[in-house]
Amino acid sequence: MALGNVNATSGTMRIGTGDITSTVAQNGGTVLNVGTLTGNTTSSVNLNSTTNSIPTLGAFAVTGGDFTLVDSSALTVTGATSANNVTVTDSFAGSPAITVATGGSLAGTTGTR
Amino acid sequence: MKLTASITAGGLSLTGSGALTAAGRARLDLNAGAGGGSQVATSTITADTIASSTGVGSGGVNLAGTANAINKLGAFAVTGGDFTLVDSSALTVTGATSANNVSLISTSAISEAAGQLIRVRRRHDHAERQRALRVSNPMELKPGTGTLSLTRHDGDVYVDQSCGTF
Repeated sequence: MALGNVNATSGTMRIGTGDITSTVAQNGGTVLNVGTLTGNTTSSVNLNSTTNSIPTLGAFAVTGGDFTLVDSSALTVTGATSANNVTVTDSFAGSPAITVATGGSLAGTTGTR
Repeated sequence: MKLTASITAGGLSLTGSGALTAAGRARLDLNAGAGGGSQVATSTITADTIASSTGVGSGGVNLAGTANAINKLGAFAVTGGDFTLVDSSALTVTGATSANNVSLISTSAISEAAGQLIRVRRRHDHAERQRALRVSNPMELKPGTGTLSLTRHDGDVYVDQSCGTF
């Protein structure tokens, strides 16, 4: 699955309910501009646009794959995110760029890196 | 698991009961800019190894979670700031850690892997830096209970600068 531009700055973008079995990625040059990101997939998720603006990462379960998120805004993790490997890169030029808050967690479940 | 905040200014923060978990053989790779990395005592890091592949800036690193369960401290460079790690597991230093001040506070044992050095000195030696726990200012190794043991393996344990308490 390849994603295009998404604008929901005050809303939630949910990627899958456990029913996505193919890798989720972004088309080149596209941006996710959403308030909260959640999801549940059975394959890897690679959201690697450097201009993504996602202030809140809610619950996101990736079973049998990796989770990669690149973000440019101050990101707060408020839900449980898990995957084989979890990679979060944030270019927000303030501090903190990444906050894992109460109720939030990032878990690499079987990763080796 | 790899977390990277902006190399220019960004920082990492664990607040409340936030948690980072790197299960199995996975390591937790923390990287940040001048914002550094911080953790409140109530949040938790669970990992076999914690390290930093690209380093942390002047904000330093203060991982203060009293329930942290970290087995190994790998290579971790803090430029212009301090490094503090609180741990509840037996901690082995397996890589070079550098910062202005280094504090390792464990309720269990702290040890150095064979071939590693814990060295406090001011002379710069690149070759030694590859394998040393190096600080330019006072360093604290503080077991919660018991004694701190610096055991010679293949290398030596040097303390070249005067220490207030040792």
